Amino acid sequence: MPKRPCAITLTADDNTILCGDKFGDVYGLPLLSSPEADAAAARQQEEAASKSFVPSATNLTVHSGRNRKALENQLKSANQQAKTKEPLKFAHELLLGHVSMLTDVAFVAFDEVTSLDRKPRSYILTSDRDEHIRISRAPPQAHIIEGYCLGHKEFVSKLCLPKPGILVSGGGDDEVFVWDWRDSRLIDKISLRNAVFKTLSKRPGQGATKVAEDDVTIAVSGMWTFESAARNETRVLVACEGVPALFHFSTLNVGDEQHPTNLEVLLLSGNPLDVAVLEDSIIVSIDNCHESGSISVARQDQTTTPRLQAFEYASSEKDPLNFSWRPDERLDGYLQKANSQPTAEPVPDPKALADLLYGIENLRKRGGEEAESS
Amino acid sequence: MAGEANKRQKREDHRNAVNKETGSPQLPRKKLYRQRAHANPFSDHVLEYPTSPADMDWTLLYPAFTFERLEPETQPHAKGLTTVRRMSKNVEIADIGCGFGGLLFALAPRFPDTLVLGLEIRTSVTEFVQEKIRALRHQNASEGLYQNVACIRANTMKFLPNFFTKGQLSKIFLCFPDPHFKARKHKARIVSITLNSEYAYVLRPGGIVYTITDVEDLHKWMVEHFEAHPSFERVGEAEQEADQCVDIMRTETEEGKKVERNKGVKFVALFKRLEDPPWP
Repeated sequence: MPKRPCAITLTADDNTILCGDKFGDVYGLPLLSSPEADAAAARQQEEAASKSFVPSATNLTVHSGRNRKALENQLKSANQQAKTKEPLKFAHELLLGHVSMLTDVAFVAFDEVTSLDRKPRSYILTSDRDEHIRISRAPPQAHIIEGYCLGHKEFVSKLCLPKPGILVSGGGDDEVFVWDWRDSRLIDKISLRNAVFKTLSKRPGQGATKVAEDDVTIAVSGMWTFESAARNETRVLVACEGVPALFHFSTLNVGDEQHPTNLEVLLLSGNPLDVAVLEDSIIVSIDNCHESGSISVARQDQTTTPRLQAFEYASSEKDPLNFSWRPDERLDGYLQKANSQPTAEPVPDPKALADLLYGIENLRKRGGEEAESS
Repeated sequence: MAGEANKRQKREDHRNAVNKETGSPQLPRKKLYRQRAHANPFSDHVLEYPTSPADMDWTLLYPAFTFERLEPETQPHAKGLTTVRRMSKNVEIADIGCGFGGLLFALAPRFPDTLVLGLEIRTSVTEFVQEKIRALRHQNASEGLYQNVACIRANTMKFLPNFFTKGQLSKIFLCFPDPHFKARKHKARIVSITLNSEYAYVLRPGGIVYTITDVEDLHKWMVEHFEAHPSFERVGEAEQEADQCVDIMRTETEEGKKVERNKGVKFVALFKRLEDPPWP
């Protein structure tokens, strides 16, 4: 890819990869590429690259003495310039782009039944560091922007669609936002702040200092949809960077003022890194290199916390209506082998590891730098 | 930064020096507001922008185009009515990268019933235009001229949809944009196939993007990228020359005058926003 990819998804027909990069562009690539298409793409790229270099400035447009000299030099060294970019040798298509840094991409398809006007419709949703969520049509009309969901005050890092018509977005704000996105309408905001603060003060990991409530910053690092067949509801799971818990809520009553959405907490023994959803269970990948609740303090004893932990969403025997997350012993049995593998090496560069695992908070803008006058 | 402080002081003095005979504010002097010609559109400037178009308060920019009315209070559980100032019109013409505002001041009297907005990324230059608007409004108070023009600092490459709703604009001007000669800087150009989707979003069908430049290569670039975009179609030569805005753009923009002085060539291209095709 021309730039570092940062978000990836598949179209509904599983034929095309949608790949967003740090520069804000979204490309469509065939999942299974054919040699013919790749060869054609490579040819096209080479043709474009072989065009000889002609400086675009002329004596008419450049006026200062130094600029004229620069132009002369450019003309002299024309065509000797080394090609800096390796052309892409596979089929790809630029679909859309933000000028801001792209953070997430989602593809949504409606069929005749779920679509508002009873015709199949597909969309690409993209989010960026400058608080935008953009709604575009799917290819071949990805150049048409249908609308925006604007309301975040900080970066948007994750998009999650528990149902095709409902979008949950999270990032650097205290709340996750719930949208009726086809109408660009905000229907609910669910604050994470209290729950995050409580989690962090409940579990000050060894070595990690206690946090003041004002110092709590929230950076949503992951969101997942979980379908509970037993309870017949859809839940959204939210992870925040460096917070040893998963926050979850049901989408049943979002936007209903009479029944405010209840945010529940699943406490973990370390910071969650990723979640895999299986039927009625989830497997959480836990950071066992850093202290619970910290993104910088190294954990003393890495063996006490299993790297993978399974939970199932079930009701208790006494009260069949009372659902909660409890350790899934059956699954944990399967995970034992993976968990008993020793950590490969003491991490050579703790900072590099922390940067690799925790990059979301860095998306926050630091005010006060007025660099343009320099 | 003694020079900078000095400049600010001079600017301040000049602004406060009221014309003794007429009592009206003086026109700002350009030399006090010079700023280097380039700004990096990718960096996080300390910018002010609304979260969404609904959050933008235009009433302070165009006070002559507002009215007051009673509306229910917005605080939760409030039942009373409160007086709110609302716009009687929305901005329809945007000059992106308006610079010192030559085009704005030429357009405003020609379209007295249309709101014209200049958007500029450089702080001092924006201030110059704002000062000039203030002075011109004062000088022409009896005729009520220049009430329909305003200027704000903005990075439109990032925040255009924060200011304008879908289909709000009828004309967008891109006059003498930064050419970004180096190939690796092309992403910073104000016209690109991906950015054109945003221009298409804020423009209504039938709306026009006006481009002018003295850099032939940039002209070709803009034509190539707009023609490649399915939402735009280039306007034919006859229609282009019949458009009064083209003439204004050629002769009234500050850069247009500079190119004239240097005997440069001006390349003009107009693009019409087409209707969106039906869904596939």
